[in-house]
Amino acid sequence: MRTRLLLRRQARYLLRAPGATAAGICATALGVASIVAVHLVSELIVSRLQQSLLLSGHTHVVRSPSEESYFELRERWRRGLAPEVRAMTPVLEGHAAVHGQPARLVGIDWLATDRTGGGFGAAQGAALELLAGDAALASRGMGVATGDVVRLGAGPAAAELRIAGVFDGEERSLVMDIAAAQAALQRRDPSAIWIHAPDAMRFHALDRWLPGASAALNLSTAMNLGGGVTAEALDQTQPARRFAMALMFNLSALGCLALFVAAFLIYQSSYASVARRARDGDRLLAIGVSRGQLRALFVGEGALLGAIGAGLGCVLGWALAGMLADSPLWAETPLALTGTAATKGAVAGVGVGAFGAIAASQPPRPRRGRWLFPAFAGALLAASVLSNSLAAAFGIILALCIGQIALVTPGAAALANRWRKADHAIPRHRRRSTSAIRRRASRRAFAGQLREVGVAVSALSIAIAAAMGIDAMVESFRRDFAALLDRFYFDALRIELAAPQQVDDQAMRWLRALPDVASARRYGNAEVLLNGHPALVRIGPDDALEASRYGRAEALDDAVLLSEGGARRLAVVVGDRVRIDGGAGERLATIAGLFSDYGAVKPRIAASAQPWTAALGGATFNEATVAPHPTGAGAARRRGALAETIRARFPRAQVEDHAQIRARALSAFDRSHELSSRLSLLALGVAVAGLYAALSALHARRRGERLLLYTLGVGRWSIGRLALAESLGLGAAAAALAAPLGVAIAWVLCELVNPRAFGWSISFHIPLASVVWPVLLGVGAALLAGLLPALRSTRALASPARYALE
Amino acid sequence: MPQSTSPSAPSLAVLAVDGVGVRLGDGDGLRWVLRDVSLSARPGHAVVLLGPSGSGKSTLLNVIGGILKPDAGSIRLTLDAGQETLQLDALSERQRVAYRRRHVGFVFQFFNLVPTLTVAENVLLPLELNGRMDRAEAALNRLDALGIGGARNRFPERLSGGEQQRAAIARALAHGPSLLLADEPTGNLDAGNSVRVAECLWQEARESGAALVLATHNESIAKRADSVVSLR
Repeated sequence: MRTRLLLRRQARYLLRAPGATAAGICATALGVASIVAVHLVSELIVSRLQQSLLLSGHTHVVRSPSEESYFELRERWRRGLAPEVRAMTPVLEGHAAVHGQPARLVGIDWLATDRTGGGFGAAQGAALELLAGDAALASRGMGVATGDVVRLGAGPAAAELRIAGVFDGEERSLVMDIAAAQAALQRRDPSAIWIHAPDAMRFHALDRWLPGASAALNLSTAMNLGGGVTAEALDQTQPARRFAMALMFNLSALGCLALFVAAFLIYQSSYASVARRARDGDRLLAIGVSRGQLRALFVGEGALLGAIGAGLGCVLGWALAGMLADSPLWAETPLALTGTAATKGAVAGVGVGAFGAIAASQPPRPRRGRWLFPAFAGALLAASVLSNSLAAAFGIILALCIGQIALVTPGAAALANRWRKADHAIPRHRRRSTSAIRRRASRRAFAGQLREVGVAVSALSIAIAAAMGIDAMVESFRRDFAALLDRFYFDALRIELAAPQQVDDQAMRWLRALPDVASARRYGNAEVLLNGHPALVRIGPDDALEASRYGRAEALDDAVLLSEGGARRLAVVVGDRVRIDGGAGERLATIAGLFSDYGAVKPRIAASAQPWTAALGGATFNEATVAPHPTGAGAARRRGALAETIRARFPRAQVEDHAQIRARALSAFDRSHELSSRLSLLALGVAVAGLYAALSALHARRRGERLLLYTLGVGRWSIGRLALAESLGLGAAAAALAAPLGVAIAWVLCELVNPRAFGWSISFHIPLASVVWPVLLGVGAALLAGLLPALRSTRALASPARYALE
Repeated sequence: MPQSTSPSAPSLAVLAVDGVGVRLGDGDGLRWVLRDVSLSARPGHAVVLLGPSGSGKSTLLNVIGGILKPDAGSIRLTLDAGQETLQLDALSERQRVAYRRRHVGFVFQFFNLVPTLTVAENVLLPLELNGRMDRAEAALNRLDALGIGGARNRFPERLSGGEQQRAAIARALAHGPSLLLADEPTGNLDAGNSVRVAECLWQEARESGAALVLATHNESIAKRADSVVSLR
């Protein structure tokens, strides 16, 4: 009975303060929405990147095996020598003309796939047809439907394939039985062996909860299959996927930060709630209710509000992710809210709700204990600065945020309070002023408020700082990346021939002879061992133009350039001599410089053709660029015609305009920038909700003071303006405190997190807009948060019932 | 409706409350908390409102102070021997704010002083609101007269209950109001402080020529009044 009445009392408190209750729920919902949205968008991007791969669900890959080595490997596996492997699927990949347009062909040995572990998708219902060899699965990008018949190849060797199913994917791809692909591509040896070994990808569970974490932490490792065969983890072989995961990881950090902000705001709101009910709590203790019962009720209330907020947050995050992915909830096939995302949101929501309530219901700390959090932040910062790991880089950000809450804001409040106490005397020259005393009261009230709602102000400052830091990092990254694209993809057509075709001298002569071509350049690639580690060499023309693309004034001669990530991994610096083994014997080379190579998995080397082509016997020259004549009317039409001419000459070639490549590459940034902007707004929304709750409680406590001013003859709207000015002051204080933290977060992300996580550095750059907008938004957020409490307090002054106090 | 908003020397005022009634609540809960109350007060005259809790003493003070509008009856303030008359029940919100600022001094049981202002600043606040900082010295000197001159630079939280009430009296009289309204000013004080504070109120009201209306349920304070209005 006692508990029932206590519960009823608790419920009435919630209902009688609907604003504070709604603010608590709202803060949780927005925090949860941010992590759910990031999670869903991350899942979507990853799934799009590996659409065709998902057909077999493989986790590792063995590159370029011969048919014999595949059978040897399979034999060893069947004898139980590779117990982690569940399936081993030979795959033949290449390009062929389908209805005269180039398409990617993927031939799979369907009998060797793992039907239980790999998402067979569209293949499930058509397995028998696919095995028969005259059917294929088509990507949506092919523009065909199930039941259609496509013509593969040309001339007498052409074959017809029936489309047995369609899978998602923008690239033009056909997936078929390996025998059909061997016939179409006229090759026997598989291009790769797909290995399905989920048990070897233990860390992928981490990706389910924190997208991009395994890529960022470099947790995916190669698997030794014995007999000198090594299977590379999928993450290590997909630069584009790794690159996208890198962006997602950075954004996930922001999503977590929004939740971090929400947790502290819920603490602030719970604290205000505890303070409001303190007298009532004392009465209950006096009649025999235990402190444990009171705390349990309070924590239960926090968890309940957290659960409601989590539910709303999941839906909001789902809607936001849908909009970002151009698949809103009202679309025909909306983005699905996955179980992982919902679970993550629910755990986070209930967790922060309960945490806030537990923290707020603790008895006040003794004076000595007040140094606990600052000391922890200091120790964490010291330990993080001394360490060179990625976790330490995030440790620095966490320490700075805790320091902001535990040290910086209270320090600022203490300073403001000291100034308030020192400011006693009434200067004579102000005595005739008509508002000096009211302004002084307002300033002092602000100093007091800064102390009372310090956690909410800190949280707002962290939200502003996070928006600032992430925006500056993304802008810095984009600037560097755009500069790199400017150097490599400025005005040409890129041609990539399908193996085993090469851009030989005859092809080069043909390209140069085309009427609209100003110049043509040839590029080769080779897999080598660099100081004993696998690396890729890109061989280009030995001229000043090529050198300038890597930021050098002169041609390379026999020195080489090394990717930044490669240098970090191999612990070499400019001027060091390295051993390069390309199959034709080892050769020493001097590292003349480093270059940025975002997303590269293996170390990459840039070398000149003349000294290195012969030294690297296995180089494949299958790439070329042609620069069309740049000017004149109809230049775009002529470029299109030139691309068609080249496609007609090399039907299996991929011909792309540099502008397209550039736009595609930058779109990843633009998308992530859009996402980070939305998340910044969400984090600010969380801060608004928390600050609103804190200010509501504060205004309620200061009701008597406002009433007094009203009776002294200060008008309602003047009192409202004073209250709003105080909120504005809090917003300005939060923005001022946020600016150094935002710059620090941006610096840590650019200079520590990205190099340590992905091996590339970003030139630290703070655009003015990255500082100004978050500050304006933050001040606006504080104003918005203070608007309703101020309005309510002025309206309350006019309420007759308030004065009938007897 | 003529009204005075320009501050000047203390105006001598006659207050006439005639058949005032106030209803509070809404719908079925609407009830009269004050019905057909009449009183009058002259300059330097003290009227005590006596009655148990819930009898409407504070409500009547709020009506006289222009915070609440009466639902029945009229309240008239005649200033400077009839040269100016304020009909309070007909004033707008803005006019009532101006009336309070210029003509009324309040002393409450709680929340008497603005906590973020020192005692001196609290006393000067009504002068600043009326644009009469030229009277600051006189207002601050009253703190000495009330025995709290040494506390002028202290914040209210550092003052005892009696000191706070005396500071509130100084603040209420600083701008020379015509009416001094006191709502249970001794309700929160011990017996000794109650006597001192009540003494201050009588004396300061008489000396300044303000009409004092004081709500209390303390019979000993009521005995000193020029007239007593009993509310039930």
